[in-house]
Amino acid sequence: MGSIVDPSEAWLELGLSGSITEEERAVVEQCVVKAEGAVKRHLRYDPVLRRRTEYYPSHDSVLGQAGSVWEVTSTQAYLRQEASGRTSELQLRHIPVRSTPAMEVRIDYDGRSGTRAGSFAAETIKTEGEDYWANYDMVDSDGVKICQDGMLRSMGLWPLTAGTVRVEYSAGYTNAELHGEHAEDVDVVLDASPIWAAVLEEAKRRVEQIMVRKKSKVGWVAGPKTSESLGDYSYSIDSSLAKALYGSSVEVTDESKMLLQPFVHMGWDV
Amino acid sequence: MTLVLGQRERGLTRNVQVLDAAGDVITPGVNDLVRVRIGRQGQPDILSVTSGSPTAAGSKVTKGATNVVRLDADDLNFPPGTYTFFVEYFDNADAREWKEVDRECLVLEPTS
Repeated sequence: MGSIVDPSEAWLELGLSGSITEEERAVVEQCVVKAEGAVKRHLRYDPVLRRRTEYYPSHDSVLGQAGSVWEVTSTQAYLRQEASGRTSELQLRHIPVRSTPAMEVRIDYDGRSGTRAGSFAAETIKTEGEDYWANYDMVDSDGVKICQDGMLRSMGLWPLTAGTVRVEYSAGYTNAELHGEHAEDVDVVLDASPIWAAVLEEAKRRVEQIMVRKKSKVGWVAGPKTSESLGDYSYSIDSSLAKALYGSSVEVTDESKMLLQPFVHMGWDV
Repeated sequence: MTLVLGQRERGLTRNVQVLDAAGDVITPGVNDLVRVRIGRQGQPDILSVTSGSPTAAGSKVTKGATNVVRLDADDLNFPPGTYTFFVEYFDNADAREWKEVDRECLVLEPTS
């Protein structure tokens, strides 16, 4: 099921809104899902607003020159690495990060990505604004802070062992932002409609490819018919035309890449 | 399937006929229901109107051989754009379940 483009939007652009067969409906549905997958892979994240829980770092980092500070819980003490006068940054997987609902960060030096019983207990919760903060760069009129680069800053360095930081946060674009809705009662600071446009274009291209190449009464043909005559039935096809019209087998066309360019997550490669 | 074109904050009336596999008109029974929903995949419905249960603004579905869907201007007060217009049928005699009748393409234009 698509979550960026509604099938009705593809029906409209494909000229199917007045009449559509069940087969066409199924093809469109499938192509919307495939197009969304292609766009998400190109962006390197899921752009739909969701609540997410993730563990960091994803791999062990090499310890460089750093100072250290003891951090004490009710039962254990940990040596937390820190660099003098410098904050460390944690790159979150999904963007843009929202301040509401509130982010929650837990640090458990023996957290093992939450697999150890009792790991990431309530006492491991850190305080936003004191222990860490997102690199918020704008505020909408509802007072929700938005961090477009997904960078999480910390007082001192983040832990170096994989799976010791648990971050629960909300990130992504709302349906209104993805549709570029600017109605007077809709507050849209971010316009992510190029993502929606790219998914729609990619879905259309896939539908057209299937419709041209799908099995017809004469079997599979290698391209669209360029002529057809009824008496002593005959037809001719042009396989090169299909490629020219609907693109090659690339996952995302150059046109879509241009639309998506401002939204690509440069800091994370999934 | 038809394209349903409407304007934001303007009332909209459409007649809906439910047909069986043979193309014959189905007239909803006393305990049957007809429902229209407007929304987008993966999102909560923006508007849902069921026969016998008009909305506060007055949108309603009147059952009959031709079902009349009347959407009030106050209920069509959402951002212009393209939405799916679902038509569903509650068949009381057949397992008391909702069945999908059709999906239309609703385009809501801004009001000039």
